[in-house]
Amino acid sequence: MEVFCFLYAIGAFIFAGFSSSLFGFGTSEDSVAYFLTSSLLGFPLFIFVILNLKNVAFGLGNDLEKGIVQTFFSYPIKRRWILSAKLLSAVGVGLIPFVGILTSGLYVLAPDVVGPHLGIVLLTFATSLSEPLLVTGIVLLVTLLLKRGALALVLGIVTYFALAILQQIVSVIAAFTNNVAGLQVLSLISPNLIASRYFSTQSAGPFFFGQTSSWTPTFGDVLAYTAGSYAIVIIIFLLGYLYFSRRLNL
Amino acid sequence: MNRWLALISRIGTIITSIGLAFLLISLIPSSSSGNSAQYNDQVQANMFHSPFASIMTPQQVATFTVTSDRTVDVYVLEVSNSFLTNWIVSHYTGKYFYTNNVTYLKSFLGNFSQSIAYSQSTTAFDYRYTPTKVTNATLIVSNPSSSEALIQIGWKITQQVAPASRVATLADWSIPIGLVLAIPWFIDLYQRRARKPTSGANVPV
Repeated sequence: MEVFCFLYAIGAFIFAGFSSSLFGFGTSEDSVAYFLTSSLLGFPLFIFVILNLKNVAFGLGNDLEKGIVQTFFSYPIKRRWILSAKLLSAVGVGLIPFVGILTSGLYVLAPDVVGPHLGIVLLTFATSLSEPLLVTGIVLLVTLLLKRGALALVLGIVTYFALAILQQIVSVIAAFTNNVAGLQVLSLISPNLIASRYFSTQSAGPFFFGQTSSWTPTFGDVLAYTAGSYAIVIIIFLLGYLYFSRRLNL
Repeated sequence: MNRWLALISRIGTIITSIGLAFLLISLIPSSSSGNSAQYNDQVQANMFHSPFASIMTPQQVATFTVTSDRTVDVYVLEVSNSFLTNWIVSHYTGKYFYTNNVTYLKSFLGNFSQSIAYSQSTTAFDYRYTPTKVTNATLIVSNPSSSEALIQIGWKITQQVAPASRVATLADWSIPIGLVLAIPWFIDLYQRRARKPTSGANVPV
């Protein structure tokens, strides 16, 4: 934990960058806050994903394999509380330092960017964390179904990278064909796509995307897609809870 | 060890690790390969001069030095030079021939006092400016006296990972606080080592 906190604190400064190419276009302060926050999320987010998947797949998977969960079931505790405790230690403990340390680091770096635009900074975190949380939910489901962690971990990593590649493919298709349907659907899983699009058009105008300028999302769209993506994440986790509470036989 | 003490100790070790990260960041030197200029100039009586204007980010530091043979007013403004000029032109067209009259500047500063990041009346100005947001930065040398001022101007932009002084201050506070909070853990660690058997059947030879 200490090592990860150390890496997050270093990452907050090392990876933060002000995309200077956007300055000349009359960049809004919201966009500066968004791009500054986005700039540092790459590597720390990767650490967060790996930590999460390892904790859920190996932590819960090993407990299932070794019969520790079976022992827990013999205690007078509801099953959902057992899973909640497991998820809190696996995801919650990683999430709090991730958001806390990176936001504090950004505040130290640029107080007049982060302070007045804290909402945008937190929205950027929300749009970026939705996809890793979705993958975590899928890994949780697979771990419960297979009752072992190794395969679920591999599947989680493959899903995460596949989604990243899919985003690139869909973005290229949207840019070349002016067909943004794929982009809109994928934004429900990765709302960072729509957020990036919104803040880019805020700073560079609707022609920033060339042929795909037909889709210029509003701030309301960004919020709606983000809410939609978290609804999907909640549904996946609820399925995990339902399976763990009612169907899981050990 | 008591659960609460264990929690406090853990928070202490985490704060210490964050403090060490801040310390490491503060030790990274700023890049010396930024833009710079140094030259001699003159500012006419009751005129002002703008030797530097640029867009800056919190990861940049501007070092300004101005030396003059008479007292001049030096301002670091968080507006662009064109904004200042346009404001003067739109408000005082035709009154004076030159737009860089000190009267105009004082009028502008009266209206936009919040744009002054730093100011000083001196013959030797030396200031390191680190913005706290993405902003325009303009250096103004104003000569309010009735005779010409000969000035020597120097400016240099350097890149930095983070504002070293701010990060170092945080490290100075967080490391001792973290170590104090982690004392129960250190004591527990020491006691466990002290209790460890030094002889007997289980001790490896």
